[in-house]
Order: sequence, then structure tokens, then C-alpha cells
Amino acid sequence: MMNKGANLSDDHHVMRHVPWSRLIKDEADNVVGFYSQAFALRPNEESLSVNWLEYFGSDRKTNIRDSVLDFRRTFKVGKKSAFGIASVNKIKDTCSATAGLKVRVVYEPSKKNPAHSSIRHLPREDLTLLDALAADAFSELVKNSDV
Amino acid sequence: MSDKPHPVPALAKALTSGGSLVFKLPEVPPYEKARTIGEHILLKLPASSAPYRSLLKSAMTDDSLTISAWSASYSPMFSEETKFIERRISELRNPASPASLFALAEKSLEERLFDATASVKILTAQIAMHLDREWRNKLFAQLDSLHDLEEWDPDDEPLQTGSFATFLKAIVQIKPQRRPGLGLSHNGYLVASWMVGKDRLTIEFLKNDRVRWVMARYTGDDVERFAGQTSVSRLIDGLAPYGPGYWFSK
Repeated sequence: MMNKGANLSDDHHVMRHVPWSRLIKDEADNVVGFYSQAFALRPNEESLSVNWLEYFGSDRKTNIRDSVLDFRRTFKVGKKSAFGIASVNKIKDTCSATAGLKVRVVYEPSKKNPAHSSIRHLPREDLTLLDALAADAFSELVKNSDV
Repeated sequence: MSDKPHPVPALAKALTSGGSLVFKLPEVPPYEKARTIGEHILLKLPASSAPYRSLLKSAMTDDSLTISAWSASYSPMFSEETKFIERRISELRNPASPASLFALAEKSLEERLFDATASVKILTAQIAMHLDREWRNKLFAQLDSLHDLEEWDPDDEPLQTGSFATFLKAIVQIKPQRRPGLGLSHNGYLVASWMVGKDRLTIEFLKNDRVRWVMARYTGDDVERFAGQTSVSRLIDGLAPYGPGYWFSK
């Protein structure tokens, strides 16, 4: 098992919970994407919280289901909320290409959430980078209601 | 301190009116709640405090007198309970006092969301003439949806009135034919998005008429991003080089 603080492999994936208020909806209220603000750090956060999908050790579909169940156990997950999925490599490439930044995606399990991981060294106010993460890196969207 | 009688101290302006003492103190607007609580204080004063009962009655029937002013002048004469009631009067009189902010923090999440929604809807009503009914109804539905208690992240801040005021100013200026999707940042700033296929324009409305925006235009696998921060009055100018009609026109 991977040690706490170790880098996740580039070909692995992470999942982030996005509440309803930070999902882009079209005029008919269909969810069509994530707002950049879904990837902004709060004042008390040093890194962006995600779940490491391959931690669950099964096929992709099962990993996604188990990760969602893990999120639901850890904190309140609204019925209309969703999850974004990105590969570690894509996150690093996006940060490098958009902002010249070298970020780390590390394993940081907690008692409540053994799959918890973090994206470190993200800037707080770079709206262009946040938009690139929202639209290009976390390009896969899974609705909570679909799991 | 007990409510035993004290000699009434001399004031700069005092006159006798129908056997009662009346003191002229600085003018402030009348405040009905303060008057009501003043009546409560009257009930609390013992009969032996006749001079002060008279003083208080006069204060409550004369608009030029203020309860807070006389209470400050005669503070040593009142019991702790009376002083407590007087403090409540002051809290009612001063809408943005620290005490009222503390009370705000004690509100339940449901109350805070309700209040935030009500505040911005009232604000919207002030510019109702600039929004057609259909859009206003849609906007209200979006605001209700953003503050949906079932979906609410307890670490988020409800929509800030200042942010929403900036949004309304922007909408009145831009007059977009296409209505935006709405979202909320964790600190309560409204976010609006216009999408054309995969292309998207996102504007975050800050307080004090400030906005920041980012747009992404895709050409095949290539993407160009532009971002800016400006005042709401300069927003159209800031977006002009990037063809605002692409986002706002039908």
C-alpha cells in the first residue's frame, strides 16, 4: 500500500466532489460542466481535496461507485451534486501549460476517508488555471444521482 | 444597583410642564420599539422613583428626547435589569451593531439561506422594470435553487447582497439576449456563465461593482483563454475585443 505523502502515478485518476451551486447548468437546468470556482481553495485550505480512484482496486466503474460511496460516508453529498474525474497526468499538464506551475498530486488518507488525496501547490486566485482545470483536466462528469 | 430614588441632576435645559420635569436632549428620529421598551421600564420602576417615572414619561412623549441619551445621563440610577433593557433598546436602534452581527451568526442555516434569498429578491424588485417577467421568474427560480438547503454545503457562504447588486448592474448594462446559468463561489459571490458549444464565458461578480471574468474559445483541440478583472461599468469595454455578441446575442 502507498505511503502517506507519496505521489500518485501519472496514469492514475482522482475524483472531486462538486456541489450543485458550482455546476454549470443550461437554460433547462441540465448540468453541462463545472464552474472554475469548484476548484478554488478555501481560505483555510492549503491543497485541493480529491479521492484517489485506483485506491479501490477494482475496475473503473466499480472504483467510481466505491469512491462516491466513500464521499457520501465522509460528508454531506447533495442529490443533485456531481463529481469530476481527471487523470493525474492531465492535471499536471494543465497546470504546467496554463500557468507554468508544477503541482503534486499526493496520497493523504484520513481516518474517515482512506482514499483521500490532495493536489498541492495550486495558486488561489488564478482564474484562468481554475477554468482550465474545470473544463479540460476534470473533463469527465459523474452525477451523484447516477450512482 | 437598586432602584432607590436619587436626586435629579441639573441639566442645561429643564422646564416645568404640568407639574412634570421635561428635559430637552439631542434630537433623533422617533423609534417605536424603544418607546415600547421604555414603557416596560416604567413598569419596573418602583413607586418611590416618582421623579424618574415622570422624567421617563416625558421622554417617551417628546420626540426631541431620546431614551439612549437619558439612560446614559441617568445610568447610575437604574438597576442592572433596567440597564439590560436599555442595552436592548440600543441594539434595536443600531441595525449594524456588533450585537446584531453576533445574532446573525446564531441564525440557523435555513434562516440564513432564506434571508439571503429574500434580500436579493428585494434588490431585484428595485430594477424590475429592466427585466421581463419571464426572466425575473427564471432568475428567482435560479436563486431558490442555488440556496436549496438539501444541496447546501455547510462550509459555503450564502449569496452576498453586494455581489448580487454588481450582477444586477452588469445585466442592466449588458442587456444580454441569452440568459446566463448561475452559480455561487464558496465565499458567496455570484457566478454567471454563457456557453456556446464548448466555448464558455464565466463572470464572477464581486462586491463594490468589481467583476472578474474568464473565457475559453476552442478551435479543434486548441484552446485560447482570456481573463480580466475590472469594474462593472468597464465590463463591456473589457470584453469588446473578444466579441461580446458571441456570448450575449441570440
